[in-house]
Amino acid sequence: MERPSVRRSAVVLDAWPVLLALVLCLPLLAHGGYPLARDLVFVPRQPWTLASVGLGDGAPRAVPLDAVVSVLTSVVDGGWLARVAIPVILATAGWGTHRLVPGLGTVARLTAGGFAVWNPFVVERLALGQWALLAGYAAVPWLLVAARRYRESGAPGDLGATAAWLGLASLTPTGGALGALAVLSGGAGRSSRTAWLVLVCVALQLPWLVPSVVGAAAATSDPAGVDAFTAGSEGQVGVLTALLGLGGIWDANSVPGTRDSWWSTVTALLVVAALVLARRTLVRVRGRDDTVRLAVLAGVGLLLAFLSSIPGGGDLVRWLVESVPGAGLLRDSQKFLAPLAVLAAVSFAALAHLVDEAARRHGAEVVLAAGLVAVPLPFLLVPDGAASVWPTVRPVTYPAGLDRVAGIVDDGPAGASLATLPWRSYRGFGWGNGLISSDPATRWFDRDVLASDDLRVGPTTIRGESVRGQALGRALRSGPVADALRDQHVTWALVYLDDPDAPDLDLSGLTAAYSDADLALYRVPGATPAATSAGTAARVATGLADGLALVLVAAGSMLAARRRGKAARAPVG
Amino acid sequence: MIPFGSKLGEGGTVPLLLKFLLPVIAGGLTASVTMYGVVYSQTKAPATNPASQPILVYGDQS
Repeated sequence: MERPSVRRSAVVLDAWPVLLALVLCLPLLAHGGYPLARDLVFVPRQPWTLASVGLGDGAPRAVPLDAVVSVLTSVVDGGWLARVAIPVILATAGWGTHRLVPGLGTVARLTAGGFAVWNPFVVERLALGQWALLAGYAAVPWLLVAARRYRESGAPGDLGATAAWLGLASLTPTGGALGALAVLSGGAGRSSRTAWLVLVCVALQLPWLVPSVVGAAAATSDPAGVDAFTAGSEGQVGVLTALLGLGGIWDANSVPGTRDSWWSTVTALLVVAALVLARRTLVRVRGRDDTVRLAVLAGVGLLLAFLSSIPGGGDLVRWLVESVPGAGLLRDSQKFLAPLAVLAAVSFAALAHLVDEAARRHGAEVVLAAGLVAVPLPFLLVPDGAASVWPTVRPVTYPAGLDRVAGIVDDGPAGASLATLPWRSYRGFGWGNGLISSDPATRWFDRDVLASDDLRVGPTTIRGESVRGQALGRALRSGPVADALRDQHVTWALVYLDDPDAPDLDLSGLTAAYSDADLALYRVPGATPAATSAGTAARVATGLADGLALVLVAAGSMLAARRRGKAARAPVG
Repeated sequence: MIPFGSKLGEGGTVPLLLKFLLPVIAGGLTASVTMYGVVYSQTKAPATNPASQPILVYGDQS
């Protein structure tokens, strides 16, 4: 039977990350509507299409995430899903990180859990709207624990737990890569167990690997994205300092104001100091082997994040991106910093533990003073974290016209495609929250939706991977809209009327099907549906890959739950 | 867990008055730095004139 103080401490440890996650997501929780800003897009109900499993026209970048969201929004509204999923993912990072250091005191573990939720890496990625990448980050500490247990026990339940957490990480390709690195760094050991871990890692990457090989989109990416998405400097110092301070995202608009000052240098110095000073304590509470494994994982992540910024490294990444299918993942390099954020969190915890031990020699008041600095440390290092994230997570109210357009399009010819105009990938909406966002139409309609997948980053345009999208873009630039759409087998054109370029569109030759103050839908006379982008072989291969991953995660979850149940029932002592 | 005040003034090197003041100083420092950061970030001028930036871009390099 646990003592009440132990139970109370466990509740506080898990409640602190929840509180911080709720603060970061406050506008999303306090307002009605749906999040729509930057890469953060939720719609009321996301239909299941070929694009959901990576067989659309674009690269399988949000696979199997789109399939999972599609299934979930068939039973729960997308707005509610966002309100649950995003805070829970953030809190999961904190819950997992304080469990990496169970041997430390409550103040130290509060520091670990809080720092894992509120740090420059999380704030910058959430400000960019990349909530699903944060699922990969949140899974890292859990994967380290599960993989270590499997390495030591070889029990199927521990392998199952590893598969289940890797399933969460693998909602996106980058998260899957991060998760696989965490599994192998935490679990590699005896050859047969390592082989099982490798098999699980490979199997759970198949849902995006298979469509990227058999799908219609180009398997390689535009190397121009390497320079555009390389890690950036913050404040007056260089990229490495920004990365050591857990920042360095490529996008200036996602950087908190304080990170653009000497504050980012202070954070970097504190992180390095914590890594150095906490080393012995971490070795004592986690063991030398596990500490080294975490350090190696964080070091590899830092190297990947910094690689395109060092002489020769940029050329190497450009070559990989241009030549190796799937290597486009390496373009936005700073996201590989996730394991370093976990290591920094447990290092700050170990440092807090040392300070706490020293303070105890001087009485409870000094312990309280130390706790008043250690526990709110995340706020001190990114005091404007919430101010940076809140504009992104503030939800919008979608115009009613989108549902009316969906009714017309979805009742129209099967196999028809819809293109959104003016032709661009990220848009500003008069009814939005003031930030540009990915086009919600790509997730709204039960039809193939074509939108530009070229990305503008400052003055640079990064070419997208959609072969059909590129062809339509060229046709729209070179001739009348109606001819371009008809030639590319596009049946519908959805025009966002509040786009600054909308008045310049020549829509002659198109038949108006719907119009209101925000949207206009046109039908393209004479357009015939395009041949499907995915043949039977591609569908079967992708279906098998998705099925295998689903079975693996489901079976893993059951095995892990059974093992947890047995452990809970086992007599103490 | 040490009961609050149980070792007040015993055996430690921290003077009695400072023991009372330390939590106040630590809390005040934490609150001040946080408030300064929030105010600084909200009142800081952007590095470039937003009017000169191209609109509808995915992002701008930092």
